[in-house]
Amino acid sequence: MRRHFDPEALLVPLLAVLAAMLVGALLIYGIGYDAIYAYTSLIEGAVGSPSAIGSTLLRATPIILTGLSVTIALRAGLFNIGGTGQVILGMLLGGIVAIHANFLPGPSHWIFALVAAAIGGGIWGAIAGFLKVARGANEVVVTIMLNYIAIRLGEFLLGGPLKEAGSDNPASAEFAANAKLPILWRPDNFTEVHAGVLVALLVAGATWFLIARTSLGYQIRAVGLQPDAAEYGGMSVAKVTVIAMFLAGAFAGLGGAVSQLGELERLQKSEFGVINIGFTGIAVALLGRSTAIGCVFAGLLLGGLDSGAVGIQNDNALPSGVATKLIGVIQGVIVLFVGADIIFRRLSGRVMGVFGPRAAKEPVA
Amino acid sequence: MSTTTHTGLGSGTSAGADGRPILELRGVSKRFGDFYANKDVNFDLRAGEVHCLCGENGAGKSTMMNMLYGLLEPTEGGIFIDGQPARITGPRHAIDLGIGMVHQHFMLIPVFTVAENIVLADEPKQGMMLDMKAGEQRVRELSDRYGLKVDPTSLVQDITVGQQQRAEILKALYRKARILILDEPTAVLTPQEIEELLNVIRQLRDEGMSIIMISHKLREVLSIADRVSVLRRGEMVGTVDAAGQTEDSLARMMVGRDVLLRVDKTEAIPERPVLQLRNLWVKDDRELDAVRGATFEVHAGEIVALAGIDGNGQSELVDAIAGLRHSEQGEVVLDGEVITNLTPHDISDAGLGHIPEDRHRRGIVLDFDLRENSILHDWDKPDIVRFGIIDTAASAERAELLCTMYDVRSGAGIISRSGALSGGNQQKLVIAREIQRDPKLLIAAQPTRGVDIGAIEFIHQRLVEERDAGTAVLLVSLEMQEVLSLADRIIVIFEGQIVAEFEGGRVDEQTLGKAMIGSGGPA
Repeated sequence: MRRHFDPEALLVPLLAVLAAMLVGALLIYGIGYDAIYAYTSLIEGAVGSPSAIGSTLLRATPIILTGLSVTIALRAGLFNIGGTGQVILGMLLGGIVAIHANFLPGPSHWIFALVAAAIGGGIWGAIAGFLKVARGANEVVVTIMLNYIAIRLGEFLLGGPLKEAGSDNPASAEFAANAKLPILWRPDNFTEVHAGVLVALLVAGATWFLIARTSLGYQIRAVGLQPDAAEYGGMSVAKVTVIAMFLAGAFAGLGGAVSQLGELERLQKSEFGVINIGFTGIAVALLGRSTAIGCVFAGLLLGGLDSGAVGIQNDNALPSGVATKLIGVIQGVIVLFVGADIIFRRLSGRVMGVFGPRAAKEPVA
Repeated sequence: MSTTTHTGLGSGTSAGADGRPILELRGVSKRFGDFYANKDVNFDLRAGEVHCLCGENGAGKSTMMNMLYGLLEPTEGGIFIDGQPARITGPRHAIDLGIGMVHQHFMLIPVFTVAENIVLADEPKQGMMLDMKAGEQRVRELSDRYGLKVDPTSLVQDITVGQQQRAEILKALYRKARILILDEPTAVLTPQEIEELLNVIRQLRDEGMSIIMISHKLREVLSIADRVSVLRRGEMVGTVDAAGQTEDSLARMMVGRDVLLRVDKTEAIPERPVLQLRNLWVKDDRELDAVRGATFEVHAGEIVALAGIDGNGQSELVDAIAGLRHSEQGEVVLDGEVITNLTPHDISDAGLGHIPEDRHRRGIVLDFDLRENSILHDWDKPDIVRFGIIDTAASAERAELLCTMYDVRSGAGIISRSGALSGGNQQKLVIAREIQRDPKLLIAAQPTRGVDIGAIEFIHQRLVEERDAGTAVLLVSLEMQEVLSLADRIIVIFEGQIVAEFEGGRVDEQTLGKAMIGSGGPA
């Protein structure tokens, strides 16, 4: 719950983005290309046309959801690196419902497919939460291991049980037409903005409400900030941990399902090895300062960069293949700066402690 | 050596103080934004004296010391050493100038030995190699000379807090400090250790060391200081000779008004037993028996003090009653209801109010605002939460009520971050919250630790009021003074066992002190 507008909260991410763009520009000049031209193409590719905006929205949608996933876990004091696995479980369960639950009428089919995806991802997340509270297993390690299990599980299912009958390809049958997300907007023939955008915004709004206004959100924040005080206040740290990891998994599962049911025709084995929206979610959450609203903006920004890379490529502003790598560098530098800020704050907090209580509490007055 | 606390109230001698200032602050101010942590402060330290610096929390003592140690730079004014202006650029520079500082929170590396910590950054070398033998030898010499008993080869993590403090002092001596700054050195010590420390300080002074000691324990100040300076809200109220001062006169200087150091209360009228412990056994974090068969009762309408030296099982006992720690054996009964090993949630609902000993860890969430901390037990209560949603108007109202009734002062009112409040105000918030829940049993664990004198008076009065309203109050305190002035009945815990019980007001410090170290007393 942030009471006052804190300009610093906005300043650091903005500075991080600017600094990263600067580093990117130096790199571009370093390889002998025109940075201004490249960046113009980038911006055009991100927001320069209806198609560009549509493409940015499509890329932002899943990473807003995985960003919210990391955010809700962080608020409970947990680091969820398991986005990839939870995304895959969401795709698998959502996909199974989308392929087989043909008895579901009309739009309820895609809605139920999304619910199944959320439950699938949620359970995958909750496993890590449960192992933490029951056995003391560090959630970072467990979620990473669960990522690999999920990848292999997906490959196994598509190599056998889920494979389309009579096909040699490791891919499922097509999703039912009703299970595909409704298209909201077609800026051109190749870009279809689907209802996943609304799902992401809805979940962001719900996450904000959950954290700021509900008893559960209060408990999550208390557990994340000071587990001993939460226990003293009568909360069950174990229960809150498992619930928070379930929610984190559910959001990531939704992230996987919305892009799948919005943009793909079927489940494909080849997809699982290259999914990175789980990890991008970490960047989104850091850049969005672990707030729900921040995740929306950070998701749009990183989605825009992604979309802009295509713009650079179309304009031949950089050698082929360099644009996506450049965007990777820029994203990395953003995370580095935002992360450095967080680390610096921790350190300076410790140093300020030496200066006595007055000095340390100064920022409030 | 006396086994009780510093009973010698006489002021220290002025032997060795020749009146020449070795260190001076002239017109020093330190500003953070619009806020003056120190304003136009004048201060001088004479060679060979113990000069105590008093003041409430936030009065600017630490800021002043941090300027002397080069951690902060004065906004205005100058520091003079041996009459020469000195611009102290950092701790390293301060050390070179002969200033040593022992912080309230020790700056030792737990996995290093005492000797390694002491020689750190100034290691004896033989060629390229570290000569730890020489280091240990040097530490031993210093340790023997000043009676600072500590084994140089022990790991810091294995020694007591008192020994760690000695290591810190040795570190300053090793670096040839002439001026020693001690920041609230007794706050972390047991009565025995305090007495030993005061003796060490006297000896250091007699050897010619000039010492600044920060403290707001006035009896200690009076027993050790040659002169006393008092800061209030960043400004120097004055410097006086300790001889001729009393606790009351110093308290008045600190707070700016008369302070009631003794508690006014009538005879207790105990009623039914509210808390009953029967043969309670509790283990500590290392799985050792910390509470061994405790049996006692606290009645409605009385204050029972659980007295003892820190680490004798008090914390574990309180945690077990509150459900924060597992009881191995025995029974806890709260107003007729067995609550042994129920969850903290259910015990709290059964009528426990708990002022925890560590408010920063348990009592409040530092990053929560006052509204949020006001409802720390109420996240599932229908007057605050409906359909899972927190009624922010109700929580704000609750916070306003607590702050008004208990005079909790904060920068931005109820939307202030709780961690930004002074210790006394944080504690008042916790006490307000716990008392407002109208508990049957109120556990007050070290309720005045790290709290200003003015607030201590207030807190003591609230506890007595609560008793008079028919609450059973269990006070856990390490301060003998607090125990003696508040308790209607005193039970003494030693090594996890209840070893003695006294009527309040019918026992003196010596007898109680003896019982606390496990030697005698009517069991």
